[in-house]
Amino acid sequence: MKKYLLKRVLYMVLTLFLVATITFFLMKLMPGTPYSNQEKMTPQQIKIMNQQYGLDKPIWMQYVIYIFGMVHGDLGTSFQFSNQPVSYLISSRIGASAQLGVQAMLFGVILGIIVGSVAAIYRNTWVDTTATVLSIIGKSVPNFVLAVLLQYYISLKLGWFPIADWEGFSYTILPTIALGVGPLAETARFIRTGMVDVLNSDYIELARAKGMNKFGIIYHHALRNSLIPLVTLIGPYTVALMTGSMVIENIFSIPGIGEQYVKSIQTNDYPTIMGVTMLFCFGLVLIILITDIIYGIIDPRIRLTGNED
Amino acid sequence: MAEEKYNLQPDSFEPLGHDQEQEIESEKIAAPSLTFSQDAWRRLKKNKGAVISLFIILIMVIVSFGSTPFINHSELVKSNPEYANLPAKVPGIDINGLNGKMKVGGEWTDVYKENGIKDSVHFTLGTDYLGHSLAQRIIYGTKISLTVAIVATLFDLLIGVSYGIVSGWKGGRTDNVMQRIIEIISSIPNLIIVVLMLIVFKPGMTSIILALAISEWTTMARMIRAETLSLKTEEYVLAARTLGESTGKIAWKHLVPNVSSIIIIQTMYTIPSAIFFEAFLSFIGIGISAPQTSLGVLLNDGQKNFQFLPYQMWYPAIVLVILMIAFNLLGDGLRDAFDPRTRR
Repeated sequence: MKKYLLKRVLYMVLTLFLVATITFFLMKLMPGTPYSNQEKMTPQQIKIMNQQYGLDKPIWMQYVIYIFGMVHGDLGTSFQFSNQPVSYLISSRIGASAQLGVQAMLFGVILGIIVGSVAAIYRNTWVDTTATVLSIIGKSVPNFVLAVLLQYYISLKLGWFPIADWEGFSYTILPTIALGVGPLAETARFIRTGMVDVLNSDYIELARAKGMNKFGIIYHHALRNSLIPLVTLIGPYTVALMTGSMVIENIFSIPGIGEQYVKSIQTNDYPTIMGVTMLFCFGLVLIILITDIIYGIIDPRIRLTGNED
Repeated sequence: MAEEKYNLQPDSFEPLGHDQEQEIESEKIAAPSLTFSQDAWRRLKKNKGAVISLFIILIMVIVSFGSTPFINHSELVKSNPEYANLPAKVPGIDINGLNGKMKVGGEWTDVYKENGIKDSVHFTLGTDYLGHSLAQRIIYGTKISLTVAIVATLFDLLIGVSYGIVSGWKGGRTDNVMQRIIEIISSIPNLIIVVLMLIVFKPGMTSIILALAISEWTTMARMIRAETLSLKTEEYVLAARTLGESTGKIAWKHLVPNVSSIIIIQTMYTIPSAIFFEAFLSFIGIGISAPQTSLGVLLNDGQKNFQFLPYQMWYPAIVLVILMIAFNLLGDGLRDAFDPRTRR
């Protein structure tokens, strides 16, 4: 276990280092300059600006400075908001994104478990068919389309929730739904398949023979066993939520990381792009590591060894 | 056993008469033996959803690619301000919303009449803010979206399959290194790969295709590798090796056909995800942009005016969703058809 952990952490660091390096050099290859009004600037001004941002140094030195800074939590200074450190930009915005992400994950997974279990219990009835059709639709409707529709019909027409912005719990509901529908559909399908499998196994038959009631069986035997593989989906869900946050936060004008990312891409704000890229990567790598460890703990059949493949 | 000797003479046997031939007939295997793919096809045909999806996809592909001689891009870029923002009008249909009427200030008004447009002019799905026919743009956009998705998937297939086969076949240290590389690549969110690629190359079809191809192949490679590992030990592969068949030929003649079901299923799941990614990128404005058209661009355009001209977003959204549903259902159908064990 210890050896396994050490190995994984080592890979994590290696991955992050590689991503940082690739991002850095890609940013250097990027066409265009970060100064939006360069035509109006004198060469003198450009020189001063370059000095200020450390762009006058040779590339390898910039690279060393960048990696060194990152190890110490310094992600450079944003070009877009002058003199704001990227780490400050990120830390002031991460709260909203994290809250949205966690809410969407909980909403999707919990509701998905319920829908999937109900579909499995009543399999091959209209309940099952409805659940299957809904989860196919949920999987197929892009979250940004759903977000626009929800925003228009629920907020604007019906006026149930605020249209946009981020000022309290009621503001979070629609974005949460829009983001969470994807994981919901996926979870429901996953749980249903797993549950049908489990419900056909011998120990369920035994429990039934002993006279255990339906919901007892579901709760004590079926659900627990079909929940375990769900842990492996948390990684992919995180990716989906990160991707989704870029567009959902834009639509609902939520001051989060995703919105910032899109903005910095559109304005060539390299330090912020690099910072957010590293943040996303770090988040994903960490979550994959955690879920792998949890999976090993709750399912003893999977051994965490140093040389498993 | 008693050592009895039967004295069998040739005339102890009697040939069967003609009337008994029918009995022999019944012993025959009536149905022709099915190959693996025929069997899968037969199972797929039983799945109504998958068959309908297959038809929808075929129709969409034929219409969008067949439209090439009729809808060309230069015409779609021209703006016709006099026809801007007209709602749908289908001659002969008198349902509000499809007869050139639109809700303006809560009342259905005939926008065509108000703008003084001749009776002979009608747009089946209305027009956008520059006066382009929305129907034409949607067909053209579908073509672009499908092209991006299909080409990206082909690349993904090419890289994934060859990487997986090489990794699984070589084994040992090569495999180990190749697997670590995959591990590293797949722990980078593919969104980030796509975004970085798009920043470096200029946004457009080629860079989206490249970006999608680079970020999506790892799943395919992993599955193919796992299958290759188990196929490697099969007798027929061993026989081929013993006979001195070259590695390339073994891969092509024995491995690829045997992993074809995985390839097909995985492809069917990659296409909708590529369609989604293209739409997503164009929607946030870093994918395909303005004069070009794709479903994502149309959604982005439509979303700006959604409050007043909802049809401009609804139509492309419906097309996109139908396309996604069809690919997802077909993917599920193919998975069940090729691997009946997973069927429930």
